Amino acid sequence: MPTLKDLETNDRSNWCPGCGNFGIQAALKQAIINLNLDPWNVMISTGIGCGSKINQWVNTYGFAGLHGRSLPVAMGAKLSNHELTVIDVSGDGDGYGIGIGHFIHNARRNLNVTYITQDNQTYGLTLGQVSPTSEKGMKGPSTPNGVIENPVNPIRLALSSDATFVARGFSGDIAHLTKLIEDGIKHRGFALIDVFQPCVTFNKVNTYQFFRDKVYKLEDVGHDTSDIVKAFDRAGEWGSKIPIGVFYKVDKSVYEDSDVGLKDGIPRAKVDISNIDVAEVISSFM
Amino acid sequence: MKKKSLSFLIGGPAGSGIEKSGQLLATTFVRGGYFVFSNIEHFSLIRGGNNFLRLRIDELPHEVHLEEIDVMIALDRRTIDEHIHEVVNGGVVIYDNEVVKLDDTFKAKNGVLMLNVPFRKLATVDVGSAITENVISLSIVLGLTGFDVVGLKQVLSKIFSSKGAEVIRANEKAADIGYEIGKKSEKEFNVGLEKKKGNGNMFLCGNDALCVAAIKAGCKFVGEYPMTPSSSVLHFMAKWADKYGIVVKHTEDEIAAVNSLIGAGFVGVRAIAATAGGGFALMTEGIGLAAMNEVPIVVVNVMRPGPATGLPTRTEAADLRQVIHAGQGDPIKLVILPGDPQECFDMGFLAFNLAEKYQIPVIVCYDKYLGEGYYTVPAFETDGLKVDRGKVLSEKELAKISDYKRYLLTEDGISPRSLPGMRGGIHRATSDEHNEYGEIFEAAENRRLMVDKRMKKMEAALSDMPKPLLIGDKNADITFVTWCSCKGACMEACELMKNKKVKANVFQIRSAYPFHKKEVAEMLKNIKRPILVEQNHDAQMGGLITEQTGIIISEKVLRYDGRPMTAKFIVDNLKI
Repeated sequence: MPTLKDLETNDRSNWCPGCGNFGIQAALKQAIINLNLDPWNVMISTGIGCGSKINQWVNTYGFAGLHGRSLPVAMGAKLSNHELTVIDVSGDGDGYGIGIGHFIHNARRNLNVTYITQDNQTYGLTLGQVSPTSEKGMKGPSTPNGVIENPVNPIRLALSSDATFVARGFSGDIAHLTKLIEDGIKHRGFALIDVFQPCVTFNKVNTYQFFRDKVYKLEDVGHDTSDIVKAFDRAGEWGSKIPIGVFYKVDKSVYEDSDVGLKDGIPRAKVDISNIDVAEVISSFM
Repeated sequence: MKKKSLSFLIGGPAGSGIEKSGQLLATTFVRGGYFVFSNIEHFSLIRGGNNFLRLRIDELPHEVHLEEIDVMIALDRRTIDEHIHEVVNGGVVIYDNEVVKLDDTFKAKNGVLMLNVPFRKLATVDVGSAITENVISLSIVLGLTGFDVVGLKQVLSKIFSSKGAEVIRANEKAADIGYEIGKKSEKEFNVGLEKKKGNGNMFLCGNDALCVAAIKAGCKFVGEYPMTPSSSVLHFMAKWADKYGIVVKHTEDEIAAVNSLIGAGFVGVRAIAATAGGGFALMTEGIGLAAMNEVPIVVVNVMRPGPATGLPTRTEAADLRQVIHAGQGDPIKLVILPGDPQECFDMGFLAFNLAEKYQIPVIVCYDKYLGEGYYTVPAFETDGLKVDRGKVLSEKELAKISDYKRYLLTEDGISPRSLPGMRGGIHRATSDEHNEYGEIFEAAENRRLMVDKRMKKMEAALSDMPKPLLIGDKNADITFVTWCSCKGACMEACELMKNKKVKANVFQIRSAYPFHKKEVAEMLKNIKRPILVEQNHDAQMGGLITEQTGIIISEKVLRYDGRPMTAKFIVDNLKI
């Protein structure tokens, strides 16, 4: 079983003191430990944003790519070696803004990855602009008069895109988030875990206190995670009561189960390619 | 007298099966021992318009079509109207007047045999299968040329083997009917083709050749979004995915495509995507990512005329600058330029080896004319091909390294790599500038060292890049300097120049970046009169040569009307 020390890197995190990402990092590490995953069999794919730096500080294989493009990298990696545990850590700008197309498509293809989105409703790394999940009216340097668009609802979007595990956590409740990440990794299929992650520097609205006052756990109210209609209803709740926990969960075959290229079940990364016989292809041109 | 070569044109509205007809006829002649070159010119639409396919059948290999036509199969009036002037004296036009409806306005061309055959009626009434119409028209050609019909029947039964005996029988009947009709006019069309012995050649397009290379090279992941004229790569790989265990993903867009290749390459799987200029533009940021994180990927750009949508189904070679300069920062990528299907195969295979050896994105760039043009080439020799995975560590080797650095600074810039799943090789690959461990690091000295490291790989790779090639007589009066499929037209132009008593040869550039500046400069110094032949407005290769060697080539033959370069075009535009 890996220890917390095994999962530490030489580098020290440079998030702002009190950043919500610390809670996510702690929960992610604890989930890896609790699931007894070998760190060398875990790959974390990230995009660009404050939160994406997480893989600098979790000692597994990591790939930090482009803004919004962490999921395609995760897809290529997972379909090339499905024995790896592939975790994608994205942000609300990354995943619900520039990369929203990849989110929808990988949900519908039920790619077998865990998709954790650090949702702080702001753009931290570019100094505080609003994000696709910012509430209407929120002000930032790009919207001095306040946002006039409706926010993306990632839970509803995931549900309508046929994601097979749809959950939301709060980085202020690390124990609860740890369990969600564990369940997300254990789930065979596309698992969205949207995480409320307060940005202590730029978002003065959606603070720790804001969420502490409002969040309640779906499991505490007997929510039926197999009921997609109820899940959709719960996902619409915002205001004085905001649900966290698992909204919806269903078992379906994952993408790699049905791809003809993988029908022998062997990861492509482990196939011997030293001398492939192409005589049949060549004779097809004669 | 028997002829040694014939030139065909099959034309009609889109959706009338021209491509399939051409394939059938071409395969029959290739199996009959001839070299066939075929290219299709079509409009960017699914029904209607006027598409046409040219077949050049010859005893000797050629890599370019002829503008003259010996036999035309016209499936609509427009084909006749637009191409009758190209039909040679003694040539023949095969058509069904029930469909084409020639009236008094039509003026026949002197010396051209107009052969009206009701193939639509014959197909529906005599064969009982309307779709055999095209087979009837093709077999007329076989009858006319005195070629036998057995070869076509063999091809038909191979193609329709999965469709059952009834379909094969109907097609064979259609072949017999057409053949008998053709035979009756054989004497009027007194230029029959000799029957030769089959020689086991292949008939395939540049994209096909590249795919064979990819499969041979062990490519196991394709992430691609359809875009003409590259889509056949996606289709071909999908067709063989089952047999060769290849994950072929039609992605949501080209951005997903290139990034998925990077995911595959990162975990140790050889991956490819083909696209055209527009899709390549979307992949640009990802190509930079592969360069920065040092991930091997292969991207193919099959060029078509731009900018924007341009002429989607036509040909041009104007993306040289785009592929070299794709991405911010100093270019870190290898760009190779095949000029025929054999080179698509050789350089396609090489591309995968170079990508892994140098842990770098490799771009293979060629034009639509080569990508979708069909050539007759000897079966690919695969015996000597060796897969080179580059510096990949094993877990055993990693166990001996106490302080593994993924981006270790080395003499040639190449660092031994570990793959996810390997114990002892854990690291982060980071698109930010990073230190030897892969950790984000902004120190000035580190930045300089890392830039140098990546550029060193480019220097090291130069010796592995395909060298420029002098084709033909060494002592020529003029030399066509060219790249991509234009090579074929240039080679043919050399033949035509013989009639003008001018000795010509071809100098083909086969790598764009890094550039063989020494070899190119030396060669150009010894060339009496170089003439650039390119399919773009600015003579982009000429510009690159000047940039890299200081040599200015002022004489140019440039074509940028979206139509393929031909020998005739080159000769007509020479000031000789």
